[in-house]
Amino acid sequence: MVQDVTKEYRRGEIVVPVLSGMNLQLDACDYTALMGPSGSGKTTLLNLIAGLDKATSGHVYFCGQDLGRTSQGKLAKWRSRHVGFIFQASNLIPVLTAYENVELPLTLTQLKRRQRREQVRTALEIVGLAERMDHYPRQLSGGEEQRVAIARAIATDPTLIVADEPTGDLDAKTGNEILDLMGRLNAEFSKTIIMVTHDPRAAARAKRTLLLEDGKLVGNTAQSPMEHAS
Amino acid sequence: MIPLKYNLRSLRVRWVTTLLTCLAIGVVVLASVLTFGMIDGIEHALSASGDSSDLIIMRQGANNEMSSFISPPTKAKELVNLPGIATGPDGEPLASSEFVTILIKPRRNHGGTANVIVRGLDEVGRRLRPDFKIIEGRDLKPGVNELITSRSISKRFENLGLGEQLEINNVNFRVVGLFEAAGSSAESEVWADRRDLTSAQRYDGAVSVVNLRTKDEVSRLEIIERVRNDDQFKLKAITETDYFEDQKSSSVAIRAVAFIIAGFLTIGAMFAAANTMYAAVACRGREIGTLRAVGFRRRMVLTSFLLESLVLCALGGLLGCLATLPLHGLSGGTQNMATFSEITFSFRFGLKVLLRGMALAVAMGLIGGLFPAIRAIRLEITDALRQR
Amino acid sequence: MKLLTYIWRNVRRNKLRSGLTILSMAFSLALMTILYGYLAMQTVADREGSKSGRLVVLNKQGFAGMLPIAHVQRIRKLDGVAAAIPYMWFGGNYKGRKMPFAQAGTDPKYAFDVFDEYKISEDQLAAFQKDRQGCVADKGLAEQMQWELGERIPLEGTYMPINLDLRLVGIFKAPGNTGSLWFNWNYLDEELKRNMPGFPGNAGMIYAKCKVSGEAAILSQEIDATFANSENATRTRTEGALILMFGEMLGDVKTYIRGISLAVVFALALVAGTTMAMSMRERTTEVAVLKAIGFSKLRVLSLVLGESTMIAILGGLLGIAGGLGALHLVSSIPAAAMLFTVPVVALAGAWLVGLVLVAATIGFVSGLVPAILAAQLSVVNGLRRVV
Repeated sequence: MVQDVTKEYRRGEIVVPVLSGMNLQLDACDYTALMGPSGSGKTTLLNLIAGLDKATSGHVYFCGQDLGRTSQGKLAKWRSRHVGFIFQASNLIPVLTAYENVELPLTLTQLKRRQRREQVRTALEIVGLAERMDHYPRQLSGGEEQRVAIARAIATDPTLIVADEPTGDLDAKTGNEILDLMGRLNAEFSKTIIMVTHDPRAAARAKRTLLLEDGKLVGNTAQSPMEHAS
Repeated sequence: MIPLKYNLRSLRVRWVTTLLTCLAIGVVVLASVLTFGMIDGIEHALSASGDSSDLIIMRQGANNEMSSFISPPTKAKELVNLPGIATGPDGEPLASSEFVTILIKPRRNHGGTANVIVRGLDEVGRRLRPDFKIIEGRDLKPGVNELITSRSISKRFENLGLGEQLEINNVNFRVVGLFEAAGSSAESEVWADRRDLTSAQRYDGAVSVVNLRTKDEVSRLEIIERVRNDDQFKLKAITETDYFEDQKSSSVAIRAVAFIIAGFLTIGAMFAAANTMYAAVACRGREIGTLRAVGFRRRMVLTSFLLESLVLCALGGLLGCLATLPLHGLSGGTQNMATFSEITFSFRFGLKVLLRGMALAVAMGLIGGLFPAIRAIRLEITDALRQR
Repeated sequence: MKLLTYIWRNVRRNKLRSGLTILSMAFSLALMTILYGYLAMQTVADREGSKSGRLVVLNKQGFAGMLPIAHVQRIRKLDGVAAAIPYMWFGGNYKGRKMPFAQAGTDPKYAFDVFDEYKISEDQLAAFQKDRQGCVADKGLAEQMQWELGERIPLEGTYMPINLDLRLVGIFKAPGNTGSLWFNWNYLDEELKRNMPGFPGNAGMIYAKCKVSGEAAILSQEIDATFANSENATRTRTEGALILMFGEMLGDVKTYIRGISLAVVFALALVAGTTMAMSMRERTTEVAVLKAIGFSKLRVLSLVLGESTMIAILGGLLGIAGGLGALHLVSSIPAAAMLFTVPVVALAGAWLVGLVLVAATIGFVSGLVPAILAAQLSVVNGLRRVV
């Protein structure tokens, strides 16, 4: 789905090469982990795939559509339809309830209120927090917040889920719960997942792991979905 | 569109800042509305006075009643006999010869001195004022140096209370009654019997102007023509509405000052609103990044923050407008530049005035909130997500 | 580093926020400067007026009453009076505009003795005294109207049913812009007598110059006593008192000005307070660090108060300067010259200092709560704050 030949420079005053000559292909139902030391460019790569940023040169294609040539406005629309985000910090809007947070991406669609309600409920049920839907983020634990974030990510039923250190802020047990959930999304719901992580145990859950160093792909390990270290 | 409840709740979460800013804006709107209310009150006092079928006959070069005199006074008698003048219930013509003077008199409560209009008129003059009625005491009797005045004048000036005595050129006049006249300019005046007044002022029989009511449009135009061109008269006839309209035009200066004051106040408060919104934007960087990542377009985020700013200021504006409620009807007095004399008025907070105040609040919200809103969307999503 | 430097750096830290607050203060204080400047002018005019040693005589009843020209002679004879002149306000239209400047009929022989601080050249004065239809004008007015010597100035009477045909023969210089034009009272009187027989010579007002300016009060009483029993009793005031009287006529407008200022001060305190609160909220960790290092509560207090006060004073100074500038601009418009009897420069006085103090106080008061909160902050909590 995503085919990628990129070099990228982050501009400030200094030209810093972050990714160079990056090539990557993601197919449907992929579950890919991106690992590498700090500064290796994995988050940058993620941002490019997610349409949050544009490559300096090269192309990022999504089902044939060149994201680099899409306007900001259209990109926003595209993201709302095709991508779900899971951040390290849950990034829930603190003044909205769990329900309202999950509903947020749905307000961008043409769905009527009742239809939205259905989808929100479904998403929250999948993550197991349906009964907490009227609670505010501050009333939820870290793990629960992250689960709501996942619900938000799947609310519009996107094809691609993009996760940036999803377990980074969580303890081992809660982290595992989250990873279980993500595994389900991939196996049961056929979501394509690309995840950036530091944690080898998280990476072990993925179908393959890509190693980045200094902006280049240096390793590629494929794993069967059955193997996972706990 | 980003749901409005996001903005409303965000305002509520930072309730201290929101409250303080609302209060500041409220105070500014209150001050502006007070200003407009005062101007409106002054203008109302002037415009409520004019009846378009009434004419004021003055000397040709005069700009106001005080500087007019009809000479010789016999002309006034001839004017009363003109055809086309409306008649009262007893059949007598509704034409009133009046003598107008201004005296410097002290205000109560060490309010300094001011010029007060003292008008000498006959009984018929009362029919020519809108809704004239005595509300306290009784009407004056000619020949015994009595006065009647309005409640506001009696409250504002020394020696003009019911039962008190005012000295006019060494002659003592006693106030025997208070009247009302639909808030018109008559309520800024002191009335006496014409002969009593002219004799006290040693101008026996003098006439400043003749006020008359015409039967209809046609006779009005005829009389104006005749008075102007006929050798018998060679005077100026102006409709009451025009007369007071003219006076309003000299209040243009006050109006201009009022708008300038409101302008300064609004601009000052606008910066405050901007500050509040900038702070809000600054600490919601990640929220904004998330919203945009999820798919909300720049435009939507901008509008959202603009709306937030609008709500903030509109709330403040409402507070300010509400605060005027207890002040409705408060009366004041100042110098009418056109007649160089005191005019009393009541603060009027009508819909127009309140809307003007709200318009200022809205302007503050829009202009003050624009730049912070622009800043909200300026960052790249990836940078915004990195904040804090 | 000195505390003051640290405070200053903090002010510059968030330039946008500080700038907006300063601007907010500036606009509000500019407004107050304009409003109070107007009030101050009344006081200064009174003070200046008293210094001039001039008295103004009016009919006891006010402007409606007349003063017979004979009164002038009698006043001249009084001990203590250096000179006296009639001053009949004409209020005419000029070239279609309603009274665009002050016009008065007076006595050319003594006018510049009564108004001795006005300067005019010898020959121009002589021309004024000789030419019955001659008139003299204030230099500022002549420049605004672009008049030249010899210019014909026709005035159309409004509340006097005559027209005057005047010729500009002199230009005088007064300390401020009086915006006035003086002509010969005799000319006016003759025209009046011709068109309105039976209109006895009305001097209008009478200006008298005291020989010893300290004796103004006594002289006023003497003058009034002289005419107390006559047909036209008088009320004499110092020139300053007359100007004050005009100011008083505006009545409630003064109360209004005070009210607005109060509102402005209140709103400003709120605004400045909000700003400081916002700033301090972001700096809790920093304050905790300072306290950990050893900053005393008092120091922290002074830091915050110093910052809020500095911002306020900066805004205040900017605003006052702007307000004075605006006043100066307005006073140079000819129509407004009549209101601005005193040049703006002469307005400097205690009230300006008062305004600066008001600004400083607003700054101080608005910073109190954030300052106290910061001083009381527990170091441990401060260091722990993540948000």
